[in-house]
Amino acid sequence: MKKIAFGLLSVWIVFHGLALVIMPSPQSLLVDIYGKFFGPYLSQLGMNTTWNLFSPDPAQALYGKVQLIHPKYETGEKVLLYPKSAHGKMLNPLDQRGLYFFRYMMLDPKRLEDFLVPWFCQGEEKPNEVWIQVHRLWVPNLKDLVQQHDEFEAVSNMTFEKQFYCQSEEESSQ
Amino acid sequence: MKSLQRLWSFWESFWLKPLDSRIIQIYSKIFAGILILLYSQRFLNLEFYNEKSILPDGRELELIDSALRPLWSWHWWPDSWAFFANLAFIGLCFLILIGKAPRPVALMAWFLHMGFMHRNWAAGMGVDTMVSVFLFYLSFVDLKANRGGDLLSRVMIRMSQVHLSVIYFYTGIEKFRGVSWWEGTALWTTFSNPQMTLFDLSWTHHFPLMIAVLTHVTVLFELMFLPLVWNSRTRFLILAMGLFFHLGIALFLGLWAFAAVMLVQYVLFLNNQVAKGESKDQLL
Repeated sequence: MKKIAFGLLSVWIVFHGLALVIMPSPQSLLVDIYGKFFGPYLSQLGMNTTWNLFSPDPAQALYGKVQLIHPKYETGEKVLLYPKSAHGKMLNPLDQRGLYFFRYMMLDPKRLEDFLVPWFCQGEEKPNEVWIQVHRLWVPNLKDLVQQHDEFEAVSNMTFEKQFYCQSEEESSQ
Repeated sequence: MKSLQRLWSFWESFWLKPLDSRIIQIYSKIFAGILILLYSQRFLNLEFYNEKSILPDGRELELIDSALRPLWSWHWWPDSWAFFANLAFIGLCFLILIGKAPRPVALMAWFLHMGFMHRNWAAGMGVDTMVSVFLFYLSFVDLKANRGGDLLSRVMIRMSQVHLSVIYFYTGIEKFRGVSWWEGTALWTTFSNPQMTLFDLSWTHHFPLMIAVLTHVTVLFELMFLPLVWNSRTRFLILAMGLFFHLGIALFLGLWAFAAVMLVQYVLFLNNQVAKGESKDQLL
């Protein structure tokens, strides 16, 4: 009986092992062919990932600036910065989850449009417009710094900016 | 035919290596302790998982890239239960910590963990993925591991070791796609990123040689983990390197939980050295 059980386990070992080895390389032809078997299985187990930790190159800092436009604000706008505590400061370990969340959202404008903007528009603030800017903190390459023997200065570049108009409840119900 | 028999015998010996009950108990208790510490912090971040979340309940899987999207979400509870779901998860980990956890306990903890993962994929960190992996294998292990453990326990602990090796290998391979890892400047990009460091490390650009060496050693370590950890003569060398590697990550980058979850997996490799119990022939 145990031999049969181990035989069945061996089938799983081979299937699971192949999935672990093949799926982290999404460009592979093997993934094109066998990904339809292994992909959903590993995704369901939370193991379908490319393991690209700090790679291909470590990430640079991303900051988001959100302006909520509405006459109710004294200056006509309310400015929010994301991630909250990491804006111009060192990382607070308790804010890591928020940092990862907003980074993931800011990497794709569609995510901002699909989730962040509706959340602001339908949330407590109910602004008329939402302006979103994403800034990337560019730091000189170490090779350049070594050649120039210079103190470095990080430069913040805006990589995305868009204005969104919030629909009123009447408009959205129509 | 004989070579096939030898191959099958090797296969059985590899996957049915007896487990040392002390090692399994130490491993499961430390792992559970880390999970309690790590996910107690989640009480401070519940806004990512409850009614206040930016992601509406029911649309959470839309945020996951279609190639990685699971067929269904493990998140089954209403958002208003997020606090209690996290409390239940910690309670289950506590049972593992005090050694009062029959096998389904870790599996229930894994289901709850996956529920949180699927509720807000974007708020998931690298350590959460590692927990998904290693808690899954632990779910099938009899934590008492009497007489070297049963069939399923032995296979799952082995798979845990294999998976750890594959992860290191791929993290090393992935770095080859980045120019900065070839240049020896990748760690500078991390040290100069205020969102990645606990304190100001921008002064490190005055020590380019140190950064270059550490960058190259990082890739070398990750690539060499797989071949060296399976060789009993080099096992402790690579595990010691890993200890310093992860301590560095914990101290400088604040990724203490990630470091802890990875390092506790090393305990399982001690089993390869000391395990005594029923041989595979006695077991089968």
